[in-house]
Amino acid sequence: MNWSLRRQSPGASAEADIDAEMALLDAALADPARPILRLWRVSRCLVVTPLLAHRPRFRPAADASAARGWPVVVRRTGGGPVPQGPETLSISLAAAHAREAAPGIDAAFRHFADWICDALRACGLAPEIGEIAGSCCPGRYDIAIGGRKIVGIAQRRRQGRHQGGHGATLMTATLVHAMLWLEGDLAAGIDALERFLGEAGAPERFARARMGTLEEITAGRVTGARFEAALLAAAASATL
Amino acid sequence: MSTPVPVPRDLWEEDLPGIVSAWLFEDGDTVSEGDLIAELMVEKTSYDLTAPKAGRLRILVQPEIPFQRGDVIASIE
Repeated sequence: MNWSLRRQSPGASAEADIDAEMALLDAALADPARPILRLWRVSRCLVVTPLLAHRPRFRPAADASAARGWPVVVRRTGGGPVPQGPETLSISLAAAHAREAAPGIDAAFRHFADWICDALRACGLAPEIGEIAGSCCPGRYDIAIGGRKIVGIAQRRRQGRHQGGHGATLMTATLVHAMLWLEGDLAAGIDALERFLGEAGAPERFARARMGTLEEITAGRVTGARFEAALLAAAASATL
Repeated sequence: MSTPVPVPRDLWEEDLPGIVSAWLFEDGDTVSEGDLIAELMVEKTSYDLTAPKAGRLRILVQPEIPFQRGDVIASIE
């Protein structure tokens, strides 16, 4: 095990919790020998990317959504809009490599997705990697069980320098972030997201049947605590 | 003299198109060398783009318009 673990419960605001992700990149650049694994949760919110934030109707739509109990937070990793909350587990891994040795986009996604799948298999499940069309924030490295997405993965990268004993080295810091819907009323989050997107001038409809929580897909057999334990066990035996 | 701001060819390896997800300055703003001027996105992956020199930023590619690695998306006068 070469990484350090940080756990975080929902803080004062979802915005602050999500912004804290960016500090991980700085920390990884400062100490490339010690990647950081962060397991965290946020208070209830709709997470979107900056692409939406420049639309003229974004601000009034976000204010209206917040008044309904669904504040809108702009995240700095890639991807599309998605509902999150205290019943969503976020898993982040920040690491820095010399620029010529940094993993490519696909390699970083694959490595991270394989690790999460190892943990799901250890829980007796049969995860599959591949885009789930119609889901929130779809991507080639979605993780699904029985055709229903439970995990989405995105990345953020920053180029920088690490000052070592032999001078400065050009580095690439990579933050890979997964969100896993553990339990709760996912449909309510999707309803809130669709309403916000319509009001923001970017209407979208999602296929509810192609997404689910770990709890509903496993009929309660696999809890969040069990998955977390499996995840850390898989991480302990792997080089993240 | 105007300095082009290309998307570095080594920013990612795969042959994938990118987009600007956000310009962090307005067209015509004055920027300093090293300022984070834009966020780029390639297949659910975001990248920082910093200013190569100080000057006045001219935005050439608007958000959501696809580009390739190496394309010039801004200039600094």
